[in-house]
Amino acid sequence: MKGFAGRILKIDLTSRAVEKSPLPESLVRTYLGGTGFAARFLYDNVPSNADALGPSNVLILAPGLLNGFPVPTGGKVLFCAKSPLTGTIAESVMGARLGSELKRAGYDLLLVSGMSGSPCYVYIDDDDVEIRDAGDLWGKDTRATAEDIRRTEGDAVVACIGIAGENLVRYANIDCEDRQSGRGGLGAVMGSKKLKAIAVKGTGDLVPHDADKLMELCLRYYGRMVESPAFNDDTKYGTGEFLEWMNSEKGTFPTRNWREGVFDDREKIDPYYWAPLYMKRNNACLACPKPCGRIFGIDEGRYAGLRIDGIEYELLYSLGGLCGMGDIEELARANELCDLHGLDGISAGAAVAFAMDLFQDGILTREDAGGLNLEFGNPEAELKLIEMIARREGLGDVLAEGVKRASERIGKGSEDYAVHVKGMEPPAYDVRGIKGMALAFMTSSRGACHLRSCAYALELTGKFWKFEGVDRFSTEGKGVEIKELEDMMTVYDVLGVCKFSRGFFLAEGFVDVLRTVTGLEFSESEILELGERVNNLKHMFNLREGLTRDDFRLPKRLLTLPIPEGASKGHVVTEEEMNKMLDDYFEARGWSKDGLPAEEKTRDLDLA
Amino acid sequence: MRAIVPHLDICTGCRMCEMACSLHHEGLVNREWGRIRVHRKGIEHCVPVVCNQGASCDKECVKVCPVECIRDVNGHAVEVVREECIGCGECVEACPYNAIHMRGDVAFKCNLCDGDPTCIKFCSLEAITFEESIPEEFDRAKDAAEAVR
Repeated sequence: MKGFAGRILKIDLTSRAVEKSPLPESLVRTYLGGTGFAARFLYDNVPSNADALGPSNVLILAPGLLNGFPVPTGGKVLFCAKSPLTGTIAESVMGARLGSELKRAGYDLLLVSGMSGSPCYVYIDDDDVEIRDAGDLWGKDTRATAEDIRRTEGDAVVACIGIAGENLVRYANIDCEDRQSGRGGLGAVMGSKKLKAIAVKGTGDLVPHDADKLMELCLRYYGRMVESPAFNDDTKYGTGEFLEWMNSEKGTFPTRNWREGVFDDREKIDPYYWAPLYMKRNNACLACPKPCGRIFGIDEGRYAGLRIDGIEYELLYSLGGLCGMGDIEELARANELCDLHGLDGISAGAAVAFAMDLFQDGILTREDAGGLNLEFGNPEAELKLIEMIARREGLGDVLAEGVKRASERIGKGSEDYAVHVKGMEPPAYDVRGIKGMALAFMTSSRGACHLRSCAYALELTGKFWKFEGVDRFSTEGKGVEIKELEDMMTVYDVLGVCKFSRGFFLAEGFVDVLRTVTGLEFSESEILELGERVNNLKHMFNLREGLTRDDFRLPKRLLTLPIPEGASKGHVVTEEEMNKMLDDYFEARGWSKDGLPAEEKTRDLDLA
Repeated sequence: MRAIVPHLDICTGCRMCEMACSLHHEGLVNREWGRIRVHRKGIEHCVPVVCNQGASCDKECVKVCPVECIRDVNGHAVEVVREECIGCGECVEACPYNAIHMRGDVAFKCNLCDGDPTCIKFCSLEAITFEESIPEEFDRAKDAAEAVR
């Protein structure tokens, strides 16, 4: 099979067994790679109601099908497991060369099950696979861990966890060369298995079906991306480029734990202000011609020497606006702490903002917070609390559980302050003013998420792909819209293509790419059906874990507190709107009102 | 003489040059077949390493080859004539830029794609450029190449 490595690698940390098996051909056409393989193997290998932090959970590393080929922006790889944060499927995509390296080592997929008795790391060098002792690495930060392993193993690509993963913080992440598989607590899954790192070296060839055509295709898409109008701003200012637009023009930049939708200190954290002062160079994902990543560096003052890959839009929200904190150097330091300790910066910031909000209303006191003054906007408190979360100290131990569980522990009405869907703290889109995006938060299989659908772009501009004239304040037609977008975007995660390239490929472009790389013929509708199949399978996994319609609900704050100021002033998602959109979505999916897939649907998708 | 000039402060580490290089020359993708290779130096730098065609060296590879299979075949660049290479590896050792590689029994290096380098077409931010030699940039590249040998 051209384009594939052709093998699966399974490692059981309890028995220390290593098994290499052929990639089943029957799965190739139906799932292709990336999130497709991940969902299938998660469903088939994790028993129902497994403890997400127990030995029967399986950590899956799934390269996108195109990883390693020079298809522009085709370097996205993902980790997947049952989430310790949401209890649903967790998957998180990152732009790192881990996927390409795994494929070149000869594997389309890595599954790690069981639990090691002592800290270990997995070392993969083509056919040579070993479980090695990581006693000396336990307790080290992500950067030091990777450096130590590379000192021993040479030019390996290293994915690892920091102390947050070791301490089973439910939103700990996995780092690979300063990029993160961030969401859903996959780092805690590694920590629970005592798996500190995965180091991969691959030297094999990746052979495309048609090399000449592939070169032609890669040049064509490369040219289109470089010539696109967004190229300049994306590479200069990164994902935060549209901050002012989100904040001022749309009024949908969640601020002070979703009390507001406009951040008054926006200009202090806007990349148009800080990029010229702090940006050292662009830092690209594998195969990206238009890198939104950048190295942010501080050369003077208390944080002299700080270097991070960032600061990305989502963290300008979670560590900035959401905590009411408008100091860019403090924000960079918070970002660095999250990276070094291996914490998802979105959930960590949201947990701090949640605590600050409770503090403001007197539900948490200085005493509860170990003496910290948790006023919104206090950077010292924010930094200290992030540190306490990673170490699970004091209030940090409670917040390390995520806002949903933390509110259940704290009680006193704090549930009303916990903004989450399925236990996942949301990203930077105030969905009270973006109704379709509110539905997308609700329906995402991993909990509140902007990337399963990327609906924000369509909702805020009114136009994308086959949709036109979309009104962000309306609830009409949103069920079909989100279903179609989810199916399309899932294909991006199957192939490992960046969703910031969504306008360049779509189903039409992928027909060519797939044929050229693999020789497989797909029609546009077959590609979208594959996306639909994968989404249904993820949903079936969640149902098996006990998910019900109630788990699709928005949190109380987004249902009851209208955005107080700005361009989305007065907007809220009502209970009726929520239910109407959800009904429409379930109908578009061919699911019952309770979210159960109809038999014909599962049969049509080969899932019966 | 024109050469591929690396600019260390600009390289983003996307590795399109590596992948496109091996695809162009070998019809497959593998950085082990890349005539150009990017080395990541922590969070600070990414370093593209490629032959400078004698713009900043004394063509040590040509001098040490015992069978004289490294030469300018068509007026564009110094290249390894694969059919004649005996795989002794002397050139790999001799190259001060770490820009000649061995795979199996043959050595290979950049031949500027017959005067129209593929890698240059895949470097949107111009971290590598095809132009008249810039000695200072080569000096920096040499230090970097030494560090990654």
